Amino acid sequence: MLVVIIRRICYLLLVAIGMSLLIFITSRMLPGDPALIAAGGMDATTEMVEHVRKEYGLDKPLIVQYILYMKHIAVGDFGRSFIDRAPIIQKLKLFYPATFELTFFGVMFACLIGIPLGIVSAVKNGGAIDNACRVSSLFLVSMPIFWLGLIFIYVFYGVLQILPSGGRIFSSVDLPAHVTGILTIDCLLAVDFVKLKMVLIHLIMPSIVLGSISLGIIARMTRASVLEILTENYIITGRAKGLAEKAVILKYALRNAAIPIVTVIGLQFGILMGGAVLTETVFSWPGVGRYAIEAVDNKDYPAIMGFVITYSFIYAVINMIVDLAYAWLNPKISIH
Amino acid sequence: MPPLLEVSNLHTYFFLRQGIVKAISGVDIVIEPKKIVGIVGESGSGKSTFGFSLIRLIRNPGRIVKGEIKFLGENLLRKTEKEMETIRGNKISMIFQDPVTYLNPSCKVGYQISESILLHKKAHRKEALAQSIEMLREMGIPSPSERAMNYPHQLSGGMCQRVLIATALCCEPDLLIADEPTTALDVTIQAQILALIKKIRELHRTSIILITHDLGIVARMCDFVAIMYAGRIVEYADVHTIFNNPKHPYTIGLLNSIPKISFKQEGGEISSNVSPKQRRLQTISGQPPDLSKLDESQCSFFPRCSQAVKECGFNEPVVKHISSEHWIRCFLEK
Repeated sequence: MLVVIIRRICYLLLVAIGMSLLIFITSRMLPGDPALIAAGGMDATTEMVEHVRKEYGLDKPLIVQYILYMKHIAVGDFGRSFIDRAPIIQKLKLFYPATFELTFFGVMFACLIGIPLGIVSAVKNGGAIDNACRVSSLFLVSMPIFWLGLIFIYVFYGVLQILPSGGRIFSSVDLPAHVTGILTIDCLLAVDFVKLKMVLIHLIMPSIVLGSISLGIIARMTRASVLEILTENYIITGRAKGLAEKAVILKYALRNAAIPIVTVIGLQFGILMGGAVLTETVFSWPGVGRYAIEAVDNKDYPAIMGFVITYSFIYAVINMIVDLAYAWLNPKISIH
Repeated sequence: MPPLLEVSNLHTYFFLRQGIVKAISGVDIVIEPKKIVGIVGESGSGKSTFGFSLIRLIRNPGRIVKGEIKFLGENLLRKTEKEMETIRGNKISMIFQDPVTYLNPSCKVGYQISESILLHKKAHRKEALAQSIEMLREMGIPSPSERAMNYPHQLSGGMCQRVLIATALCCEPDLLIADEPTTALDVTIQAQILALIKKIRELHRTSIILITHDLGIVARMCDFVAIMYAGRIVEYADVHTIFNNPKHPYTIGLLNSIPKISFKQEGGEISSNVSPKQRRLQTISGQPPDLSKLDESQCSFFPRCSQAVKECGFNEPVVKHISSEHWIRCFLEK
């Protein structure tokens, strides 16, 4: 198992280097002159533009630029924003925890509902619950997130007035003492249950909306996986031993069906981290997706680069964790 | 001594969209303690379904429609599912064909055996594991404590079958149902497993129902033999009678279809002493019937029977006793 872990980490590093190269080259191929934008756009004089070009090292050969950039990345320096000159790393540190928290609760919602639903669907194959699950999965996957979000806000905030319309906490309330940036953890650490309740209330709608597509995918995946496992011969052995049907499903079927389900959950987590932008926009969530879209709008190259590099690395790490979980769950891989 | 198992008029049907498949339509059999009874038949004769029916493992779309299965005097068909769970793996165990696929791939084999012990007997995890290792030792597996920590994919087919047998026997059942236990194994391992099964009968006083299509295994292992055809037993007798004095045309056909090669040693030379007539393989013409379209107004073997008389096509034959322990389902007199 240790060998597997070390090998995977080496792959990760190779992938990270390859990705950074690809991202770097792509960003330099984008239309527009970054020096011009950094200097202030069309108002800037040629001198100002050249000055900025020198300052940002944009006149050096590409390879040199790349090496310089990688040197900075290694210490966490993503440069400064073209727009407000603030260090990118600060913004990333601010927004990533918010997106992480939202994604975590979104995926957890999807799992808590999706996995049991998938299991029941598989066990009672062809029954009413199975058909309801299949139809609703298709429905959830097809629905646009922003539409779902707006409907939720209209119903629960506009009509019923029981949930807030956005943000992580009521604007009149201070955030808890910053430790991780993940508000639920920070509230627990500060032992502030009043704030914790507020934070959770604000998390309800965005998590459900963000997790809705994952719910459909996870439920279908669980159903397919459990259904397949239930046709395996060792299920018959389990019953022949005198195990109750419930035990057969939970002990035998789930343990073996878990592998593709865990893989899907991990990948969903990775996708949602980057794809939360629509949810973040609808619910005014100060997350990294929204930040990235604004950066693209403003042609803020350092911010775009900073987001893409960090996100692709995080995605690669999540993939690696999923790989390792797969190896851990599947004895055929970890032993040989 | 009262019989261990008495099956009367068992009917198991599968309710499919294409029709009702009558996998078993009227099986009667009695199993005595400490006896090995062979259930012989071709594919689709209902022998595996019979094994599953005995411990009520028939699931949708199959169902035991009528009959009685009396185990130690109690009708198993009247028991609740919870009561059956205390019988399966405990009083009646079953082992299957193709052992590797019948073991849980994500669980070490030692724990798969101890699972049965923990389920049916009061024991701690450590005790149960120790007992499983002892069972593996009894099954003839070398280094049992190491093998117990292996996963099924790390073991050979023969070893997996021993693990399954160990699982089946660890709670000392009265009856073991073995559904083609050696079909997926090679011949040398087959011999070892069969020897093991015979040993089990002696040491544990377990009765064994041996489901197979291999008459060679039957000759070697069984005390009594039931020949199944189209969901019914057509002949039942002790093993010597079945091979030396079969009465049902199907049984005779089966025995005739075994290729016969006899060798005679003449002065150090081995020559084959087979006459030209015997060289041609004998077969039973036709196909087994479609069990969803059984014609119950005639004998199920009638279309293929070389000795059929007029009555065979108009009535279903009933059980006829030739001696106290030999009966057939046939109209023929002899």
